[in-house]
Amino acid sequence: MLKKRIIANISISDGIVVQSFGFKKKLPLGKAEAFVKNLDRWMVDEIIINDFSRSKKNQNPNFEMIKQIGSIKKNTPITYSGGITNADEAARIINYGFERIAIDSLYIKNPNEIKSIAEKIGSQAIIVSIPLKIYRGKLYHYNHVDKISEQLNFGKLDSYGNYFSELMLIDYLNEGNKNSFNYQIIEKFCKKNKRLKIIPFGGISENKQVYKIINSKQVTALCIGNFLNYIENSYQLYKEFLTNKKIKNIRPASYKKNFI
Amino acid sequence: MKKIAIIDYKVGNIESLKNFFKDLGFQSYLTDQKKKIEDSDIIILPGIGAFPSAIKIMKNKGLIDTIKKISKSGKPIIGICLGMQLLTTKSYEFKETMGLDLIPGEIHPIEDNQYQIGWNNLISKKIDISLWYSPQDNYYFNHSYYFKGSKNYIYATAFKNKELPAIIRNKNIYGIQFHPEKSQESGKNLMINLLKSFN
Repeated sequence: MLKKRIIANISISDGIVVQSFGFKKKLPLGKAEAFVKNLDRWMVDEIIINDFSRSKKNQNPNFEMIKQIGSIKKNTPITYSGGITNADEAARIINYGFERIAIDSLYIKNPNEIKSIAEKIGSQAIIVSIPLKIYRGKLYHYNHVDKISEQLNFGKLDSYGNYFSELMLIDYLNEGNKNSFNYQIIEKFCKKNKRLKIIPFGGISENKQVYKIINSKQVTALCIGNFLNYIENSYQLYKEFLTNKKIKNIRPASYKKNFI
Repeated sequence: MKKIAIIDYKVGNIESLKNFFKDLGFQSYLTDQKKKIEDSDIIILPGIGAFPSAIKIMKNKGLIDTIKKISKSGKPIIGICLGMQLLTTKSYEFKETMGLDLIPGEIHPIEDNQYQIGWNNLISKKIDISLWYSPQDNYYFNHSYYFKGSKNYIYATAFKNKELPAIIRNKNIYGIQFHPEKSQESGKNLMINLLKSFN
């Protein structure tokens, strides 16, 4: 049975890991390599490096950092997001040892390029990530670069839907805030689109939230960021909670403590 | 020490594979040179990428004939994910494209635009001492196309709406649909047993 995943998010701004609040306020935490090593040791389902400052500043991917992370000995699937603009950059990131890439501002600026990327690395390796909010009962897609929100265009998602495999729905207003993910984002999205597989992210911190979200039909994974750093063995505790709730389609916690 | 040649067709998570084999105690190198491929003890076709684009690069570099020729010598060839699919007769990813035809069969899209992304356990179809795994172990899959071919070549499957081939084999040619290098302890155990079986 294919398992639903809990993805660990590492937010990066200007080359360092940050604790982010709505992608606006941020607190520095340290070097990405240390976080990747820890999450790999914890045997998380998947890691995503989310370098949100790259697209905001119109910068291409940070290849120096990507190369450094790629060289770390790790056995956990890893995705990179941040400033990808074309197929060559995507292929280079995969070559450096990443399994997938996530597209953010490119989906707004030049969505046709997603097709070229898919032809090079395959659609299974592409996630599209969309920051969303609900305004007057409708879903709005927030554009970090131009700082504007537009009503989510479901037709556009349908027309490019064959070139990516999962859609990350980011509750950007609640990102970094405990127990605050807006479930209506999932409900409203799935009411209009029943095909795309989704990864909710932003403000997911509590076991009961994880339980509720992971049980949504179109959810194939969910993503947790800051909250993994607050409690010792936090990742394993989420998994243990789900296992105790008899959720079968998750991979049980498998981390072994290696005391030094 | 056995030398592992990772075939360079400009796609694939090369760095992950090199780290993986190093961690398992094997020396590996990335190459598109005929001589270096011939000198190796084991050949790896890496994963991640689209079928037509990988085949095009292999053709341009003359790698298809090289690999086909070497396959007849009995040298182990292991394809991972896309690498597994390249070993087959042909694929329908984006367009009909001929493969290496070392394992007879075709690559088709998983029905209803489905993907198999994430962790899944294996269902044994044929016993093979070189392919040791437990049904409880989970492996990391990431694909939207799958192998359709004779059950004679299917050694293990994984269930995603239906059983999808996960390990295929034709004599010295092995195809692994999932990513052992990204499957943590399960992946390491499976690969070390397979590599050691080539002694």
